[in-house]
Amino acid sequence: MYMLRRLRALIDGNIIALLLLIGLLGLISFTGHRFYMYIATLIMIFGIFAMGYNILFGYAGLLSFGHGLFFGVGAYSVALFTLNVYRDPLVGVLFSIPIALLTSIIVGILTLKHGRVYFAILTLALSMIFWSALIKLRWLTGGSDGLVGIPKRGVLVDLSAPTVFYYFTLVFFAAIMLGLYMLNKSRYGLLLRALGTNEDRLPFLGYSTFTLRMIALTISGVVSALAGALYAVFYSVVTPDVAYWTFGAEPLVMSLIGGSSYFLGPLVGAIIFVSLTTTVARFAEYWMLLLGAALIAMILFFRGGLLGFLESLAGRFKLGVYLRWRF
Amino acid sequence: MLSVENLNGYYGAIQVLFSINFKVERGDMVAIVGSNGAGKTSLLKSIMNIELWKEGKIVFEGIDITRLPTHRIARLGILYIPDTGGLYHGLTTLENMQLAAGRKIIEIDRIKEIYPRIEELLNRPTDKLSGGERKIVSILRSLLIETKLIILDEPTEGVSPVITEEIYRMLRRLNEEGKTIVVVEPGSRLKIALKHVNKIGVMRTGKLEYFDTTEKALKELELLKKLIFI
Amino acid sequence: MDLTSFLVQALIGLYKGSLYWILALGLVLIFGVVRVINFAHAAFYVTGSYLMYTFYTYTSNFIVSLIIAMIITGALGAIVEITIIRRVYKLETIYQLLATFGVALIANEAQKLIWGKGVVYISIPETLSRGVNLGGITINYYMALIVVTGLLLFIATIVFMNYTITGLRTRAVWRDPVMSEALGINTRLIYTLVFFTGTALAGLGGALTVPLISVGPGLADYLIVTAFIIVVIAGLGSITGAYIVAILVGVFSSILVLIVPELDIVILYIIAALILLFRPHGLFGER
Repeated sequence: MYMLRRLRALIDGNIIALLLLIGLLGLISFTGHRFYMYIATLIMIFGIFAMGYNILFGYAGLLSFGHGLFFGVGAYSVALFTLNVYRDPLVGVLFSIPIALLTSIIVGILTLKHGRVYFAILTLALSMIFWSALIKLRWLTGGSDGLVGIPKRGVLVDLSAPTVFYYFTLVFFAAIMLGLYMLNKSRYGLLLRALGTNEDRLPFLGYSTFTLRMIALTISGVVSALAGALYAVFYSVVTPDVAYWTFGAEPLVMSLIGGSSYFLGPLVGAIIFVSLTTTVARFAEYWMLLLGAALIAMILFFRGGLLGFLESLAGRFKLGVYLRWRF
Repeated sequence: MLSVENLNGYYGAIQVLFSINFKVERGDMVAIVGSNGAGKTSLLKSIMNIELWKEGKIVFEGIDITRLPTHRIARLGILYIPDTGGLYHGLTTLENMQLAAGRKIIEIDRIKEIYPRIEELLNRPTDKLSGGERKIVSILRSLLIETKLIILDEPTEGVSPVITEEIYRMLRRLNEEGKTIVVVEPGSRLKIALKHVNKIGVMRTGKLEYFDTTEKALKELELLKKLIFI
Repeated sequence: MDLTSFLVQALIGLYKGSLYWILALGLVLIFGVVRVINFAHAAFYVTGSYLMYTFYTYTSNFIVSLIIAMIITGALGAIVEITIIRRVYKLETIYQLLATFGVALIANEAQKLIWGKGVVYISIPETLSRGVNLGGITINYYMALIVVTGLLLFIATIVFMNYTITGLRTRAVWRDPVMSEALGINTRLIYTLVFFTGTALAGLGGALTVPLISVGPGLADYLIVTAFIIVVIAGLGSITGAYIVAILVGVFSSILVLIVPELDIVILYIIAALILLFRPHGLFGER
């Protein structure tokens, strides 16, 4: 009985939507359509990136302009590891985890003690340090040309067939999404959200704001780095562009589009964003202009993002609050 | 001079003021007394059009000020002094005075007449002043502005009885010089307020339950106390 | 490395620092009074550059083009404040940052649309292009002009803020907007004026830059980070601090180019990070 109750507590609209999406992504591989699989892979990678980003932004209320740093750390760890140490994409991707962990802790020590405005500025500055280091340390990083030839075929796994790589990404995607979902449901997820809304009260409850923020940053950093690692293997190339702050602002835009206060918001945003960039952006060269306008419109009129908009529609038709992530 | 008609005030979805009506005549000195959370501060803020959302009508000297921006209301001749005193901490007393005076030259002698010690305070930042001194400086600013009506939020809060007396004497003097004054005070200041004002009101849970002359109020003191303290 | 080239680099750093200062000044003013961190500030700076390029190419009159570029940039800033920024004052800081970030995105793309993706530059007016030759590098009068302009702006700002009634009101609005309203100060108007002034200053800085550096896409991205680092090291809101730090950053980065040509920027950023680790509110911050 107890187990059943625990299980029921874990099930809500989010997990059903998530499982449906994973199933759907699995089905896409059977079509064998290269372009669909390409888009789906990008959606998964950026979905991971945006969901990781939103742990800081949507949960902890910390605006980072420097998440390109974490993405870049993931991408470059895979590249450097597989090219210089051990030629295997799986081990390479896993190797990026401890590196990202270490990076997150250093970044946290440097940025988390000074309040939210400083956090935004300092993360931006740190990502620029990293970016300029990538460009300047040519002997290690290949400078602005980046590193090429990141292997898909390794000692342990061979991901050179598109379908195999697709499943490889899907497994990571599913594992990370389910992990984040469990985090949400845990007491810790609740504390993190309290961090975003009632941070002044937390010390009275016996929690250090700094520690909670540090943990949020670490999870966010590692998840973002994993996205970067998959990205590097996917393209077999990595350039400093991924560490540039405008790239790091993309998950922010995704979170806002989807709705940063919803569990699945960033993922929805990633789906929209990737679909648009891979289709519309080919035709409209200056689509960033539209993006900026959309961003301002969202901030002025729909701060809840797409899911917030849908929820208010649903509320109007009394469809309930299936979208809302409940604690 | 000031009339408030059917005023309802809201903070978001929460109503804090309920159909309030009263009139203040030129030369009046009015105290509105009530316990914490009775809506006194909200009433003053709604007159100045600060923060809360409201319905109803507020007229000052024949001008409807209900929807005017705060600075326009202030320029019509209403000075609002919040419970914090509203001094700019980090700026000196003199700078604070100059802000009230605008481009006019401050007539320091006139201030000295009312508060002789002012000169020692002029060059000190206002956050380094004592609580009582801050309250006094915040009131003295009214001498520098062409103000007709002064509304004060708990001008004697956290101040010793001696200084409370001094502040009321200052307010009285300003009143005698022709300025109309409205103060809101907690119940504990009922006695001293009755000594100085000519009209008194009582607020309770967002409603103005009583508003009449002091003369009449003194006869109904029991009722007043019941309204305030129970 | 000999002493002359060291000195020359230091002098070059002085004018670079002065340009950083003009960029940072508007940012500090806007943050100091309106309490909004203007992510689009460098975008306005570059707008000034482009406008200068256009007007100078057509009129060939340096001063007139400078003034026009400055005023148009300021007007754009005021328009942005009235239409967008004003609506987010009451929201959380995060949304204010995001709104200005959106403005920056739009401005950057609009610039590419209008002026293309290549770089633009103009030559220094002839009278100013002459100068002193030091160890093979010419320090021209134009560079001196920039240093003087920066210094004059610094003095003017300090005098304005501390010795005029409008400056006093501006400081008052920063400390307590609500009370300022209650004292009859039109805070909305002050906000718009400060935005106008801040972005006009950015426009001036940008306009002064075109004869020295080719201006193109991506410049704003780099500049905004440098400006942020300067104001953060100085302490958000500190005008004197921003001037000193901007000059120091200019001089230091110029000299670093001589010593470690590969890592000048990286080292600068690392110094900045270390300063913040030990002085979280900056060198001249109030709190």
